[in-house]
Amino acid sequence: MNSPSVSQSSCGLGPRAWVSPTLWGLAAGLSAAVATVLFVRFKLPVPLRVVIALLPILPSLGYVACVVRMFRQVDELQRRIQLEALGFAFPATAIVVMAADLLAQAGVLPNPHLGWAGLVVVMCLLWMAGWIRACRRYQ
Amino acid sequence: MTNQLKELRTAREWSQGDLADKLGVSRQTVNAIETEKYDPSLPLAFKIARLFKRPIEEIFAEDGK
Repeated sequence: MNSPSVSQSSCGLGPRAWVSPTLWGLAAGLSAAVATVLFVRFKLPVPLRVVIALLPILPSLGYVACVVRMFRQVDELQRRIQLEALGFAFPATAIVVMAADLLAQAGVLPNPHLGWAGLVVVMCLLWMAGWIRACRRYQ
Repeated sequence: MTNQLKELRTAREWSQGDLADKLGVSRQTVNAIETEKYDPSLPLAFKIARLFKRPIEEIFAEDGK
């Protein structure tokens, strides 16, 4: 039987657990921002553009690995909470993006132009909302 | 599912944190099991039974049984 290392925070993940994924996430965001600036400001050859465009994938994979490792270290209730949070965030993000797009097409709202960064923000906010909701259920 | 976890824990004068440490889970997990908001997995239920040296069916029971 596995004995996961468990922190004493109310939701099973201490602040130190978030350092690595936060750093990888920041690295991914920063490299994507640098890539965007380079594409806008400079006329680069295609092979270099491809390399720059794909470079943010490396820190993104580091972020994914950290999050998966974090989920493996928490206990079974925390895993249930994360499953419920992600199960809420995934379809809710699709609904929010669909609704915003349809309202823009109907001429009610301006086009949201979410892009990938906006999508990530919506996903993170809904993940947090789902996490808080699931934490409250088991308190 | 109902359980006798709180009774067994308090009889030994353990806090929820003490029990959580012994089981290798978070205090929130112990609290959720005690308040019957969460049913533990079979491995965790066996671990609890071993810790309290009781048969598993003496600690956990189906609702209304």
